[in-house]
Amino acid sequence: MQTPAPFGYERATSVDGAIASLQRLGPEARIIAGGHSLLPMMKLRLANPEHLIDINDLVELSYIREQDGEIRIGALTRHVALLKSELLARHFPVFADAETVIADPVVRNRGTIGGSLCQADAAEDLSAVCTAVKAKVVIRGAAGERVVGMEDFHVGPYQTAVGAGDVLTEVRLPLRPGSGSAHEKVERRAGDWAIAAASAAVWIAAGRITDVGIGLSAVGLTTIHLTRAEDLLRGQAPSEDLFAEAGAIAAADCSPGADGRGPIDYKRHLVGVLTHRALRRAAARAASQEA
Amino acid sequence: MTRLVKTVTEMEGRFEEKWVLVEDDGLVSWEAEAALRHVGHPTPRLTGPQRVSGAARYTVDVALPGMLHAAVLRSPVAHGRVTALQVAAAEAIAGVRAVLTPASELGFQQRSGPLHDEPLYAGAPLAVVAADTLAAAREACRALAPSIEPLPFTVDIETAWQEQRFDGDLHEEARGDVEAALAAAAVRVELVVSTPGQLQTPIEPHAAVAWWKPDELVCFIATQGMFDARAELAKRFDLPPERVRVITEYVGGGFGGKQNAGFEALIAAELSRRTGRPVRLVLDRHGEQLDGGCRPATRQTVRLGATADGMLTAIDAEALVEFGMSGWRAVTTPALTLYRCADVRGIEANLRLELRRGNAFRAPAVMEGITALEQAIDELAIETGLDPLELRRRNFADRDQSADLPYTSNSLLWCYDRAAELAGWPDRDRWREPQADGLLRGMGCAAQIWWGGGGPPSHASCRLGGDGVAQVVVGVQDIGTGTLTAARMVAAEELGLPLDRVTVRGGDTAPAIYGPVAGGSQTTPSVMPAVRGAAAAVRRKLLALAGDVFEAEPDDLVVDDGRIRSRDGGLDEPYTAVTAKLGQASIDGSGNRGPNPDGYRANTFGCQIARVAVDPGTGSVRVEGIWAAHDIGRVINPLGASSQVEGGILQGMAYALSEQRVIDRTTGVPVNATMDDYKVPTMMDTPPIVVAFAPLPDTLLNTVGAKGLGEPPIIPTAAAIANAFRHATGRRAAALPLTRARVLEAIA
Ligand SMILES: Cc1cc2nc3c(=O)[nH]c(=O)nc-3n(C[C@H](O)[C@H](O)[C@H](O)COP(=O)(O)OP(=O)(O)OC[C@H]3O[C@@H](n4cnc5c(N)ncnc54)[C@H](O)[C@@H]3O)c2cc1C
Repeated sequence: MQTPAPFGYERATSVDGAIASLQRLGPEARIIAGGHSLLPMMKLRLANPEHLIDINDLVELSYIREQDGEIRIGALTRHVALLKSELLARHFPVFADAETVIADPVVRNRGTIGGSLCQADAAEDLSAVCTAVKAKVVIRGAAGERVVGMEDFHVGPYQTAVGAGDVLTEVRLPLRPGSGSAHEKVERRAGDWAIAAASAAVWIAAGRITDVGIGLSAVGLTTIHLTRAEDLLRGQAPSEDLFAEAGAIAAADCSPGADGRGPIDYKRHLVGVLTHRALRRAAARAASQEA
Repeated sequence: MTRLVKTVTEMEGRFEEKWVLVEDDGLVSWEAEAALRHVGHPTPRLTGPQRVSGAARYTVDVALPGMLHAAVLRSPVAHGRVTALQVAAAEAIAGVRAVLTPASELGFQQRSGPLHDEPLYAGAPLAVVAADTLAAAREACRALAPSIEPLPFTVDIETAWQEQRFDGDLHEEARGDVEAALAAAAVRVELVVSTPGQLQTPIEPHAAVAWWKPDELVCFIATQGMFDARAELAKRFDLPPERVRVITEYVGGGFGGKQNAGFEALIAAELSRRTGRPVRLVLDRHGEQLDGGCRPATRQTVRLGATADGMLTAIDAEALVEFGMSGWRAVTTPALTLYRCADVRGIEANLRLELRRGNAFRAPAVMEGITALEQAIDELAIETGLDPLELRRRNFADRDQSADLPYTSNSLLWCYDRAAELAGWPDRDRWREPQADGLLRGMGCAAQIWWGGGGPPSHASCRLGGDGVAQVVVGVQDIGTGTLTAARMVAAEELGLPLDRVTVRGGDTAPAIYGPVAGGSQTTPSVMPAVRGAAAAVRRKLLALAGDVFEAEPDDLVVDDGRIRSRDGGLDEPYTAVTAKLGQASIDGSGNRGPNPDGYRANTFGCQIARVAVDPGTGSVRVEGIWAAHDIGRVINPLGASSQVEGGILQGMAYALSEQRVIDRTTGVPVNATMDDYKVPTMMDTPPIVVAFAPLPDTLLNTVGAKGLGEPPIIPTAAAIANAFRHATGRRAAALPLTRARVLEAIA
């Protein structure tokens, strides 16, 4: 099936207006941002929303700026802006790593960070990135605004803390000194979804890892937050052996399924290799930041 | 003089002696050093702007007044019996105009019906609906709700082989005594290789729009052979061919899978005949990937014997083919022809499985065969300690040993040298040294042989009007290869006109100027000589008229750059000085491809070198470069030719790395019949490709000296990549494509 079922459509003129429309139209209404996840699902009739509320006019949701010790990214910020942002490249190079391998320029020109996170496909790259850098997201609903950490964001496959009547408005990345981050992905061909991907961020002070975040894509029902490997690393001096051990934990703690992208054993092996590599590059970047 | 002559014609290695009409045009082939103004100079594609701007009208774009839309109901199972279809429910849906089922009495004849009550593969058509809208047609297909009793099936080669499920007889061709030669050989290698099923995946799916008018059947068809399509429609519907018109303005890729009229045109014509309305039948992507055709998977065993210094003494090639084309076997042909060897055997078995039967796919069978043979030759080079290219040079075959005939031309040795030079082959071992980025690198090579000489019948016409513009008509459609551009160049060359004063039309059978199917790499060597002949006929007539106008001897006159000049320089007048006097009249000429030279075989040859980088941690293989040298005789348009090579290499690379039809063995159903899961490479996967062509026109073969190029470049790529992988890792994977999991297994 290559055409969506019929649906109603309106263009939001404000965030509050979008929320009001969501409340009014009920659970069969959906926000549409870049449309690069939602429209394919509608064409395949995996999603059949009765109404679309288009937020593409809400330019006030499109920004990347530094404020109150955080980098704040508006939900409607496109992939291409994340790819090209110097602010992000300076503080969180993991974004540019990921964005160079997310889809192709056509998709990157339209797809948004908000859509990526709300889609919450387990194979999606930015959810792993945001998990690694310990992002918080701002969700606004009829009852007002709340801030949710990535650790509480994914509630199930394709399900997030963003409720039916909510709009995700902002992603916040706390700035802390001594950070380094990197994203490693293997895909079947350029621009494809990951067979597996690993995002890592480390914060290093006085030769010790003070904090670390690791997120994995495509090897479970949701983005995987590798807490056991993080616990191992925290407080240690970075080393190849340590990162290899974290990789081994990652291989054990992920839960891939066998599919056209590869068998389970291969995916576990890959997660180990990619986690190790991402940590190594993140630590090297942290070291060069420190200097 | 017009004559009927008997000549041997060839299409994809199938030889046939037939009568053809030829008109002797008195032309001799352009010599290698001939100074040509257009031919041999890079020229942008004639239809480029239309294609990129969306102005080009492909079959899928055709919309006629009152047109109905057809949808196909396909088998969800590999094998079963349809016990019921809810035809009344489908017919009850608003807008439905016709429902065809296996029980329908059709207006055309076909050996095995187009619709199946016992589907023999997943995706086999069970029924078709025509309706006012595509949505209604699809809804009616769902309403048909087939009841299907599942039946047993076999979808893997191994089981089919064990069960001896042969399709037709075993095919064996041999010379000498291969077993004795193997037993006596100083060096022996044996290699078992599996190759994947590959789908053509044209961007434009199979498509047809048919309009059954009172006096004529008009069909727009996405086909590579509009005249074959016309013949098929005429024969099946029992119509005179003159009352069938096929229009194929643009084709969005064929790659061999769009021969004849096909299911789509036959069904669309039948639906139009029934409803009196034009009917459009375009496969959806899922239908295309299930039922558009494929290159069948193979399992091959190659055994080689040689002397210690690498002279081949025995070649034994065995191939099991997963339900290939009926009656078509050429997997082991390269084993019989590529190298000089007295004791040779090729055995092929086509296995019958509950899978979509294979059809032509760019160098069908030969590519599969080269993929195995050239890996075995690589092993022999390792075994004998010889440079793989040196081993190939030593075993060069200067004639076709199967037919025992010389070649019209053969520059394979030049190709080896040129590819080696471009790739930096002599230093290839330095890539195996430890690399700073931790990747394993290596280089590999492979050779290629294919037919591609073309032949008659093939016709063209040329008409020069009062404005001094020449209009050429050819009997072929441009399937994306740049055929019409090449025809324009050849005509401009012969007429001494600038390119922009020659127009070329193809893609319509109505002018009744016949051209061959675009297959077997025969288009250029068949069509271009006919174009040259037609243009030459016009040139001669023009110069005769110029003789009248300028009171000169026609033999003293030449054409160049849109002008008519005397050899002594005394006369220099524009074309229009003559053509303006034509009024509404025109100068007309026709041309045709002459017969092939007796006692020769015409083949193309080539060599490609690949460099790969293997990530031993992830198993990723990246092709870092391909250097390709091909012998295709004269290159008409170097720009078009290098595009052909690049496209072939990409498809060949995909065969080695990512493309594979995957069948679920428990259900017998392909699991990746979508473009999301069937991995065609993208631009970002494309490696740097360097292309060179042997500088020797094939002057024996035809009057332009060209051989074909559609198929040759896809043939050696996968083997070159597999050999580069071997060089990089010291290991050989038993099966292609080199998926990451397979790579890690191979190098573990
Ligand atoms: C060919 C292709 C390849 C791709 N490859 C990759 C890849 O390699 N890696 C990768 O990570 N992604 C990939 N993607 C997905 C791409 O990144 C999408 O753009 C992204 O996942 C969704 O962003 P969007 O703005 O298009 O969201 P939409 O499709 O507009 O929306 C997605 C979902 O989020 C909801 N939504 C959107 N914005 C909001 C908001 N502000 N508040 C609440 N709900 C919201 C929508 O209602 C919908 O349910 C690919 C997509 C395509 C088409």
